[in-house]
Amino acid sequence: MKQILVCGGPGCLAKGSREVFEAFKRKIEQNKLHVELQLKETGCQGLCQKGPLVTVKPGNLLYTEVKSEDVGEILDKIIKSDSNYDRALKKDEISFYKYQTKIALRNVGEIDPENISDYIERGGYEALKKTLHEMTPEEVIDTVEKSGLRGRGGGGFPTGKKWRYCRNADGPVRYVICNGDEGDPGAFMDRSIMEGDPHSVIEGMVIGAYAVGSRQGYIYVREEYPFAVKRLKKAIEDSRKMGFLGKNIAGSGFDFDIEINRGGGAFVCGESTALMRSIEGNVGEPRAKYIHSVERGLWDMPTVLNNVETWANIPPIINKGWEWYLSFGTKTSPGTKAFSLVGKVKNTGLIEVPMGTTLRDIIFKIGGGMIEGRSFKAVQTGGPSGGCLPAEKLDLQVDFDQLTKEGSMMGSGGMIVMDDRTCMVDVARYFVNFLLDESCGKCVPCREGLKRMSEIMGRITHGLGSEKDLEVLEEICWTMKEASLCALGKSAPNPVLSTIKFFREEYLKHINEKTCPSGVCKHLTTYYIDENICKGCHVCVKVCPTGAISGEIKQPHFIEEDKCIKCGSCFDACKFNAVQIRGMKIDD
Amino acid sequence: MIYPEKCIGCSSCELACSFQHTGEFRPTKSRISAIRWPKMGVSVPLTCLQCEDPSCMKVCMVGAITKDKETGLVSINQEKCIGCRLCTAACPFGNINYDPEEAIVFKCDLCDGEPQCVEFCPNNAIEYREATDALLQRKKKVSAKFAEILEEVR
Amino acid sequence: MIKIRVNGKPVAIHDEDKTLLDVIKEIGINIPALCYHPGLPARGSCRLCVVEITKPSWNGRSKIVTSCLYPCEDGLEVLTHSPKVIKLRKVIIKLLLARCSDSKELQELALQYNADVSRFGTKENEKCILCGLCTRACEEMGIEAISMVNRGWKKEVAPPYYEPPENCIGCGACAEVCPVGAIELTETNGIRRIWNREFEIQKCVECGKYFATVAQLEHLHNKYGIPLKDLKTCPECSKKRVGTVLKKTFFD
Ligand SMILES: Cc1cc2nc3c(=O)[nH]c(=O)nc-3n(C[C@H](O)[C@H](O)[C@H](O)COP(=O)(O)O)c2cc1C
Ligand code: SF4
Ligand code: FES
Repeated sequence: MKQILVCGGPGCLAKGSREVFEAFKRKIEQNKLHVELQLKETGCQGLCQKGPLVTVKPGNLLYTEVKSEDVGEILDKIIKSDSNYDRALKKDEISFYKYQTKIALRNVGEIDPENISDYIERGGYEALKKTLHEMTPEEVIDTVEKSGLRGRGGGGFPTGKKWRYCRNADGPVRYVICNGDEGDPGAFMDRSIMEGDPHSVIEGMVIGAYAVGSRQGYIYVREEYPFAVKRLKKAIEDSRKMGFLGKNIAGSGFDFDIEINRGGGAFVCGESTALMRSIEGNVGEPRAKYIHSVERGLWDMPTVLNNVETWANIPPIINKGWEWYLSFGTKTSPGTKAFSLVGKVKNTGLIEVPMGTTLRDIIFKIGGGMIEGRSFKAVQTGGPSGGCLPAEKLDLQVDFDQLTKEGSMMGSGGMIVMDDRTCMVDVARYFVNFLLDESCGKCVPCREGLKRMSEIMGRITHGLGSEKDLEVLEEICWTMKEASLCALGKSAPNPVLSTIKFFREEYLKHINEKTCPSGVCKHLTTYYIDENICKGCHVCVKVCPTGAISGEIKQPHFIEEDKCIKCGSCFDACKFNAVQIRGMKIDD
Repeated sequence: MIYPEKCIGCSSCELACSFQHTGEFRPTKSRISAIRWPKMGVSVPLTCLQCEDPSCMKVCMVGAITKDKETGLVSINQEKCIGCRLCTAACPFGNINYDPEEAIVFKCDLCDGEPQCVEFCPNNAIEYREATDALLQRKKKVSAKFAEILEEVR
Repeated sequence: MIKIRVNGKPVAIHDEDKTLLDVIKEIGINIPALCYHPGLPARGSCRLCVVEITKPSWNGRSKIVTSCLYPCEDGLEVLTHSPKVIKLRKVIIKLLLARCSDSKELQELALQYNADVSRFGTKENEKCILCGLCTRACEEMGIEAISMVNRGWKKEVAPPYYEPPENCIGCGACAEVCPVGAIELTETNGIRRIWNREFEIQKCVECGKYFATVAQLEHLHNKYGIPLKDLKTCPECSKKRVGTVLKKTFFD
């Protein structure tokens, strides 16, 4: 039977994939095609940029940018098995998919997440049965430890080791938690897993619970993800019905159940200790981890907290063994990592690659390179407190240690590609301000440090900075890294430090020449019209909201600086590229 | 143990106490006071009774007031005290006072086992001793009568 | 028993629940600890009590930790005034001073640590350093009339909804524990003012002296069942009353 998989991931939904799905449904009903066609809505299929996406199996053919009007034609081709249809892309051949390896995302975009049999059909809950019937908790921990799996939530702590510590800790009860808070702006890996393959998380958690000896688990889901909550709830119910959760799981005598918690609505609630406080019903503030949560975590009981993607990796590791897992990735970071690739690349979307893949391969092969006419300037990894890496670092092999070594970090897997029109000072300022609002405010270095950094960054982008400011920034950054209470404060300096390190020139231009080379910092840019290029077409006059542009038709126009609010409308509107920004070289 | 009948209201205990604790001779800062009825020529020295189940300790939420299991001493840990002053109101005998100058609450601490009031009382109206049977007997008798009259006064 | 070294000097610790700060203070070393109060749970938020620790087995690596929270571990070597620690304290003092430029207490610390006050070019004059001692005191009292609200740089200490707190008993412990005197408490004519609320102070029924807020006494009554009528005399007059009884016991 042929399968039509309509993507129901966040990107495609926003682009109208639901209508496409309905259109397919109607057409199939009208033409009574149920017998030969199975229609499914899946989780994110990855290539969000080109959504709505539709995949047809067998053949793994991908249709991009599908509109409901196209549905008739596509159905027609599907029924005729017309493989020459030029709209159908062979998924296995296009570079976006070809260079990926999917372990955590193995089912995302492939199955109907609301249907437990879809999951089971693809080998789901096999690992659970194997664990409960054939393995001792020790063996499970051994396997995970040997696989070298490191936490995908940011810290990269060895998962097996964490489990072992927890198992060995004293306590009448133990808890396991799944961290689905995913607070990094622009990141959606965890969301895609929770929405697109919720059972993989549940299965992973049952295995983990068995290994550490826990009876109760919690999934902490970010406030803004109601859809993920819905999917997880359904999945929990279904797996209870099938005996994979609850009492006497799969007839093994092992009991374990899962509850869902809604997030506290702050970025810092993703931090492990803050998250536990939040589940307990308190304000989500981190605490010092001198006594680890594996010993005293949730309600002071030994607790294992892992990220969504970490949990989703567990079933395949159990099924296929640690040796198999070690065959992916690098020595210190085995396996694969999911990223949300966003920014100025052609193919933005959800990807998963073996650790050790170069930034260049990710951005230029999978990402398809920069969007037309732009050139690569930097890539930011690790979420708001990650760092920005320049073109010289494109051959860096992405894994936990390499990224950290260069002053960035893995974080939970956000990857933002920036082009030549991005001002790195402004980028750093943006992240500082984000963190300023999101810091919990408990400890002095983070709260006061960010406040002062934000002021200084504001000064520099307004052309009021001095070289001493850079020194002061570095002093504050050092203090925050050394003396902040939690990892938010300790990592918050990354955006500033990495941009100072790799783009110092750009800072100095802002400071000494009072210009923003990328034309982003409004106070440091002047718009003007190059008389030699201007054809006097008057278009700019029409788009300027403040009437700052004047000039006779067919004569060169000019901009009155006092009235210009630097909105860039004229710049975008001019067909001849006559509008120029001072400090920015325009060669396209 | 106090012997009111021996007290002559001379203030020695108060002076000794305040000097011991503050370095000054100021009865207002003394942990012990002699309540006097000059017309009758009668006075009674009063200080912390180191109760079995002290009210002050009960109301102190930060555990600044503790009772030593061995010596029975009820003491205030000034470091831990957060200054809510509930203890001063909770002590039914008014034996914890607040010193606005130092911003501390204070009470009798038995001078680390060598009560100065005892030392300086010219007439042995205050005694500090291990509890003996005879003493306990006397204590019982006094407290029974005390309770009786307390009811009347109320 | 745990053995550690503080600035090279061996220290033996019998109570294993002690933190490094407890020990450091006990042996008479003075380090700033603005958010610490012995009567309240440690919070580790001012970060001034940082120390550098290492162990022989760490291969020369050291860690910066807050001593008010760090438990005593056998074999630890603690440096309370290493160059790194001093530099950190200095920046933290500067950061605090940029926020509370008028604070006498912080200015004193800055002097002590030779911290250049004008470093950040900012002079805010907040009073509160957000150490959380007041809120912890109130929480320990079982009252929770004030708490930390908002997060990040908008964090502040406030009663619920910024209204005069209904459950406050006006005990003033918050003002008492505040290390920088940021909480205003005034008393005039038998009225105590704090947190924008006025508290009637009980007049001693015997001598007429004001001695505790009525709300404090009601709190004692409600929580411990002490009859209100027994709470209407000041400590001195309570003593007198007891004296009267004793006098009757012995002399009448
Ligand atoms: C400020 C802050 C935010 C965090 N947010 C997340 C998050 O959204 N999701 C997540 O899984 N981990 C987050 N983490 C990391 C967690 O603290 C924790 O290390 C992780 O969930 C552990 O799981 P893992 O070992 O599987 O990575 C955050 C950490 C910090 C300091
Ligand atoms: S580092 Fe920032 S987020 Fe973490 S505890 Fe301190 S103030 Fe809160
Ligand atoms: S006293 Fe330790 S952090 Fe403030």
